[in-house]
Amino acid sequence: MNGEYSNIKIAGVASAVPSYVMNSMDYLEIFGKRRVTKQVKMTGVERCHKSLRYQKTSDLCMRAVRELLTHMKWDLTEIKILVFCTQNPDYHIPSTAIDLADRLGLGKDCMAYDVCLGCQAFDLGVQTIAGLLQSQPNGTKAILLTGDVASVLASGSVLTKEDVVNQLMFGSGGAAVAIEKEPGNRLAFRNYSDGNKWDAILKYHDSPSMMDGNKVLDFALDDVAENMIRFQKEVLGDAVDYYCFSQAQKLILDNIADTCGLTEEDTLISYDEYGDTSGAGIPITLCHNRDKLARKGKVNICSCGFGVGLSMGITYFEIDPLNILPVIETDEHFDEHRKHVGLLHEHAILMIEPSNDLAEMLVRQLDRVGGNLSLYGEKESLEKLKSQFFWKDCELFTDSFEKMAECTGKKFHSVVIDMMDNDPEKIKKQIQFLSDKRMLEKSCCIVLVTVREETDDGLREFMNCLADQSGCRVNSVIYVPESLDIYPDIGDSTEWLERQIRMTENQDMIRPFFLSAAVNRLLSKEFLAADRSIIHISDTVSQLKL
Amino acid sequence: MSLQEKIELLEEIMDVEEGTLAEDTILDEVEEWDSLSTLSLTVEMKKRYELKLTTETIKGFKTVGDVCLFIPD
Repeated sequence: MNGEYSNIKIAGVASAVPSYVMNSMDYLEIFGKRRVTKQVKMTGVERCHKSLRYQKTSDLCMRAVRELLTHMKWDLTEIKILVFCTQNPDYHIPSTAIDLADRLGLGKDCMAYDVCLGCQAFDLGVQTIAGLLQSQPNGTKAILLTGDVASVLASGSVLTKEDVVNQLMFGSGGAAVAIEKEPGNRLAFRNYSDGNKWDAILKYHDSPSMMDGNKVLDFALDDVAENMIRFQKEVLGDAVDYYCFSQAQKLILDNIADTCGLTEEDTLISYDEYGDTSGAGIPITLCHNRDKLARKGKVNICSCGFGVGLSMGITYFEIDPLNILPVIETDEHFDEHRKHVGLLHEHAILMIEPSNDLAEMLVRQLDRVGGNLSLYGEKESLEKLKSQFFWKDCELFTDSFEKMAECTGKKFHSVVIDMMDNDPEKIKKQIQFLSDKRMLEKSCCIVLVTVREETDDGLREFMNCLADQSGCRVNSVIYVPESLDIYPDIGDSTEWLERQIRMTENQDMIRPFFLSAAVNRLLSKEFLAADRSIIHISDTVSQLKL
Repeated sequence: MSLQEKIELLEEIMDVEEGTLAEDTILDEVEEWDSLSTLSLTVEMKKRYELKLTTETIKGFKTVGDVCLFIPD
């Protein structure tokens, strides 16, 4: 589709990135000088900003839009459209935009919805809103939000070195664009969409994303360049001050520019500082270059976003750089709309005496998947653990087991016991106590986490004893300590990330993952029928080459 | 392009010293044959010969010689 409006004004742009910077060159020793140097040279990405554990795309966009609205001094009641263009909405349903519109204080007559787009989010988002505004009176205002958080390397992910080194190219970003219907403002556009390349960048709901770099490169060098050349001939003439592409890497952008007859001076970039920031790429680039743009007064921009689909959009518009805000840095995250959902939704779990690294790691994983935790153990160490959880409603019991029974109203769906440092006789007594006090749900599962012995006979006997006492299902996860190094998670993912990446063996990133995955599965509904099962975490995982 | 010139082009793309690669060199055994190299090669093929190089074709290359066969004379 091609077209032109004479009444759409791009009134302002703001964007936000997290403050944590990942410098490519800091990873020279870890990934090898050759690989990193070459990658930086080819991609042009010297550093990028990564979101910490709890930050979502909407958090970045909300910060950007709030600052933009303050700057523009807009009357919130005049905003009739809010579109959130992202691949990472807060919810699968509803459209996050509807929640955001409410949080921003927009009226109930404001249309709000999400659109799933990547690097072409700015262009297609602007064009969508431009069309919607046509039915409204002059002066009507709209907001476009775009962006994505870069893949956050959260603890519990299975990662290879190749995964991590690729992550050096992608940054988190969120942006807000203020759009207004006002006669005398020309906006021209062109789109191109090739569904034949649907699997060039692909992600199913329950799997990681996959990219065929060659298909994307091919699209960029052929289709994107060709469409831009046509647009230049048919629409633009000489009236462009700057071109602004979505921030795919240097290799791709240089080649497109070359084919279109553009020089370095004609094009704005931000990938050197922020990497590929998906749909926020074009707004971030404008913000990053706003001082340069401000020297000219009003500027004519030709933006071109291309990506997942594969599809692309080109937009030509004028903008006043005084309404382009400098890039904002923020680590804020809004958590009030998070609910206890996840693999262990509303699952009451009792963890007995998590007093070592392994137990602490397990408990953090259970918190991450939404488990409703109760911890019994020593006061100081439990309080330290609780401070690291997301869910602040975790119960701590640091007195006697009897006292715990008095205080908690809960019946437990699961009891997780790390056998290291724990006395089997004491555990038998504790399970008996819980059973006598009717504190265990009918379908309760007791999970023992223990070190491998020569035979499983002793463990089986112990499991049978606990099962007879309590009437519960009892399952176990066995591991070999030497092949299961645990690296304590400290607060947020930055130190974790650095510690993990500093290891030379990539399987160090995956061994703790398999253990906690095993525990989570045993507690889940899928394993309601499992009883007296033993999962051995194989020590050959240390030889795995992923 | 002669065979030798093609090999030199690959050495340049992969950023290895002249003389490192031979026709029968197995690509999997060369650390520098990674996604960065294949991307550079794809761009070169496009720029020089207007040739498309797909992921499938790349996966089919086992030796340096295979790549040289693909590059037009």
